[in-house]
Formats: sequence, C-alpha cells, structure tokens
Amino acid sequence: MMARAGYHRRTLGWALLAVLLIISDHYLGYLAGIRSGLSVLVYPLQVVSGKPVEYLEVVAGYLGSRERLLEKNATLQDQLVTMQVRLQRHASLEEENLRLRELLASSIRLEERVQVAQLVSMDVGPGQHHLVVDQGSRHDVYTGQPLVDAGGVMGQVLHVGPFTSTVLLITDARHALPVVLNRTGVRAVAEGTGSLDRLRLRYIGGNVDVREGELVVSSGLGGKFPQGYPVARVSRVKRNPGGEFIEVEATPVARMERSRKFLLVWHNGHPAADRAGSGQGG
Amino acid sequence: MQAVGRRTILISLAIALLLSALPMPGWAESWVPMWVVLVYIYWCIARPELVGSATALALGLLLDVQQASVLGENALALVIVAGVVGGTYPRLRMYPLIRQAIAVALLLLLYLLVRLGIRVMLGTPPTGWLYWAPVPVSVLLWPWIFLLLRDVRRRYA
Repeated sequence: MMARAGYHRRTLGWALLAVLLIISDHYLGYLAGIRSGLSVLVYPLQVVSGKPVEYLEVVAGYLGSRERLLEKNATLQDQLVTMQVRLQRHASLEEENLRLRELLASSIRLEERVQVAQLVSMDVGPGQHHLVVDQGSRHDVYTGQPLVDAGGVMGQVLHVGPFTSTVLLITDARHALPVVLNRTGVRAVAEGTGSLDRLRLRYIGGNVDVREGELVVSSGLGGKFPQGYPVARVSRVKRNPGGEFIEVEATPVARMERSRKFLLVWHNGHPAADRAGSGQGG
Repeated sequence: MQAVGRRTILISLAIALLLSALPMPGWAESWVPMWVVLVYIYWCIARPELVGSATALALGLLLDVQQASVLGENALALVIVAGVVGGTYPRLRMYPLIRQAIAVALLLLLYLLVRLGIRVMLGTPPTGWLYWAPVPVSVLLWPWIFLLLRDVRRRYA
C-alpha cells in the first residue's frame, strides 16, 4: 500500500509539471527550445511513416503505361510554353513596375528569397490542420514564415525544429490572414473554418460589390505575408438585409490536400531574406 | 529480463507513434485510432513496475510535438489516465475482454475530455463531433491489440 501511495504522489507531481508546461508554452512562449529538441526525436518516425505513400507513387509511376507518360509529357510541354510566354510578359511588367515604384520613391523589393520544401507528414484533425516540411532552423526557417504551393498561399510556420518545421494551414480554425479582393481592392480577413476547402472572409461591409469566383490575394497588412499571393476564390456570398457585414465564403486556391512540394518565402524585412538572396532566389 | 522488457516496450510505443503519423486521406484522418494511448494503457496494465506516470509524461510530450498542440496537452491527459490505471490495474487485468474494452473506452473518453478541457480553456476548442470519432474505432481494436501485445510480452518481455 505504501508503494501505491507513492505512485499517486508521483503522478500528481507529473500532472502539475504538465500544467506548468501548458501555461509556459501557451502564455509565455518559453518552450520553443524544448519543442525543437523533441522534434528531432519525432522526425525519423515522421519520415518513416511517409515512406509507404512515396513508394506507392514510385510503383504507380513504373506501372504507368507509355502512352500515358507521353501524353503527360505533351501536356507539360504545352504548359511550359504557355508559362514561358507569360513569364516574358511578367518580366517586362515587373521592370515597369519597379521603374514606377522608383519614380514614387517607394522602397518595396519585389524579388524574394525562396526555397523548395518537401512534405514530411500532414495532420488534419477536426479544426486542426498542420503539416511538417523538411526545412528547419538549419535552413534559416523562422516562425511566422509564409509557405506557398503552385496554386497559392498554404499557411505559415508555427514551430521550427532543427531539421523540420510545423506549418499551420490557412484552413485551420485558429488561423486568420489579412487579404484583399483582387478586383475591387476591398480588404478583409480570411479565417480558417476547420474544413480543408473553405475559408470565411470576415469584415466585408454590407454595400460592397462581391461576386462569386473572384480572386482573393494576400494584402501584406500585418507584415507576415508578402503582398499579392493568391489565397482563394469566392465561392458563396450571402447578404443579410440590415446586417453590417456580408457572409462570404471562399475556396483556397492552394491544393491543400494534394501538394507535396512547397515554397518557403523569405519575406521583405526579415534578416535572412537578404542573405544568399541572389543564390537561391528564383 | 528487465532490459529486454524495456526494449520491447519502447519498440511497441515507437510503432504506435509511427502508426499515428501515417498519412491518411482527408476523410479518414478523424477516424485514426489512438494507437499510442492504447499501447500505453496495455503496458500500464501489464507491466506497471516499468510503465508509469513518468513514461506517460514523456510520451505525451512526443505526441504534443507530433500533433503541434500546446506542449503538455497530451502529456497531462496521459498522466491522468496513468493515475487512474495505476490505481485499478490489478482489477483491469482480471476483467474479461469485453469488460476490459468498456473500461478502456472510459479511459479514452477521460483522455479526450481532459484535452477538450485544456483546449477550451486556451480558447482553441475543436470543431464538431468528429473530435470523439477515434474512441469507437480504438475500442473495437482493443481486444486485438491486447491479445497481440500479450503474446509479444510472453515471448520478449
């Protein structure tokens, strides 16, 4: 019986320690170091658990018939040409934009340092959406750094470990992102809803012109996200007569569930943004 | 004997962590069984002299890092489960499988309830009833996990 009493006392002690951890992590933010250390232990497990899917894709690639591969190659070629044409136009536009900005004496730099990051694991629970990518503090990743995929904004870095970092997706119920409607320039806040294909646009006034299908881009307000990355397309507009704001829902343009490769963006003003900017920038 | 036991336990817990990180299609994510908690409960019942509340704390912290939750959320929940099991394991051991599964269901509900409490207090409550979805799946798996780990224990621990 003595041993049992000791066990309960010890359990109580550990429970108190856990409560202290929760308080210091959530309210004081002291534990980033501990989390980063523990992430080194968890990392190999995450890598191993991701392997079966990778191998499946490799095998599927081998089994894919020759015609299908040729077909895919042809579409990719077509895409490449279109993209290159667009890029030519983009380059001239960018130069023009830069010249205009110089005229206005504004100091915004358009090029940003970027780095490709690969998916390690993804965790989508009710209300909580995050994923782990294979870039960490060793690669200059910082907390709050934006992550985009080929479609648009995915999320921002929540915790940084030495080799990996955890990214909070924009659809997580805890996430909010300052955005602007591309057509009209109306500002709003895109809040996650906890479901992967839906964002809620808040604080759009009742008399504003919003149409379904229009593009929503990041506004750059708040200083965390760079300006002008596509975020979502408006999917539903509901006006309540007499209400101060209208209810607007939007679908993310990033492929939240399917992307495996992303870009980490070093945003203007962050110290690491200038370092090696030309070498890895793209 | 003790060293072998410890190694077996560590390996089985690592496999459980691995299973819980396995990528799943979106609709299935919410229904993933609570592998780590199940395996922990088994060893807590079977080898209480090796697996107690200190293990619960360490394991819970790893879960917190894996799920990117507040450090201590899973840890506190698992330590509380450890406290309950630590007081009742002689009885739990003798239960027939069905009653044991019911007891495990209650432990899992307690675990999720503690986490729910923490998240509500921190202002980030989970959305929807799918939060509880892992419990039925996990309970259905319990007899299988129990028999599997019992054979593993008889051989290696």
